[in-house]
Amino acid sequence: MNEEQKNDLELLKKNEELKILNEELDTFVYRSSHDLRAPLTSVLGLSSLIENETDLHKIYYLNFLIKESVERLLKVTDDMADYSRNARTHVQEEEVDFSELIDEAIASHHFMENFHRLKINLDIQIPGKTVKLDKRRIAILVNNSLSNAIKYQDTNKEYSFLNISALCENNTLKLIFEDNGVGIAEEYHDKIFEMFYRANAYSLGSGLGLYIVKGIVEKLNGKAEVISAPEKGTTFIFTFPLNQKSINK
Amino acid sequence: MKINKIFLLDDDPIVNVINEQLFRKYNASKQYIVCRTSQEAIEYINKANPLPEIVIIDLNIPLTNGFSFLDKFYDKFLNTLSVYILTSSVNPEDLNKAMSYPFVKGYLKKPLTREIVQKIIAEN
Repeated sequence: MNEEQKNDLELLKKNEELKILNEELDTFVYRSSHDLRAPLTSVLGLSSLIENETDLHKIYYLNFLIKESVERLLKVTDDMADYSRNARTHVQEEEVDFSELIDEAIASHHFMENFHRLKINLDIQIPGKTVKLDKRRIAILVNNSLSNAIKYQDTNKEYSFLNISALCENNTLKLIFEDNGVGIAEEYHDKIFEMFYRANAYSLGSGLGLYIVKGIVEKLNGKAEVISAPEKGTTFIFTFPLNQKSINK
Repeated sequence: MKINKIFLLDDDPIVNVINEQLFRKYNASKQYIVCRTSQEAIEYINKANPLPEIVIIDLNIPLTNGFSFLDKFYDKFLNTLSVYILTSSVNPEDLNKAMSYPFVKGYLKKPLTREIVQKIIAEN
């Protein structure tokens, strides 16, 4: 093969790759525009119901639903920003106080429905106070795991718990989120990390949360595992390689 | 035609509130059946006798989608009732696919409005 033929082949290959990327982008645009439109169309529908309504209680109720729709819209835009931030920015490690990171994450979920039902137990075993991590990415991962555990509690159970463990061993950081929530049937275990996939019939999320988590795990060369069964609960195990030097003794 | 049952399927409870309230404003039907999951919807349709005259469904439903619901009841719906797709989708493939079902009478963009409700009532 001469140089010119080689270049042609290379060009053809690149062209094919671009085609696939463009198709993926189309799907992404259709889906995300759907996710942005959905709460907006609700706001539109609710406000036109309010227009002709004279019953004050009904008006309050419809207004409450408008607020809820706007909050959902905000969540979708936040998810999209997290997604693109992970895809586009370099890994940036810094010394992180892990307990502090978890505490901050928990504090930011206080206003979620059913937050106070969930008993959160922490087991953080990190030698020294800090560990060298990409703080922003790990925080997104922790926040997603936490909000899933809050959202998918099994309210039929008397007690709901979430055990969060962080263990440093053999140059790895292991993060475990174990809950006794509604659980996920085995047939969906492969799908939950897919973009826009929602494995719960009552889920009102964007289906982006665990997809973002998967992206973060990949970016940090880590591993994600899920153990789950309906009505039993779900355990996510994330493992990240750590530089030996990064554990501050 | 006097409508006895309108069937609404959307995983979003807010959308269900909007749709039911709008139809109620026009006294469109005697009864409203509202489902949030495909499982509830399948269970209802399986034992519904008589079937609802009007079915309004969303396409983007977790674990399944509106199309697989229509596929499941293809024979049952054929020549018996009117289905309207109500969606926020902007994907032209969804529109083409929806209109390929003979019992799909309309492909509607959310939100449902007074005008559309009046049109649906007039058509049935």
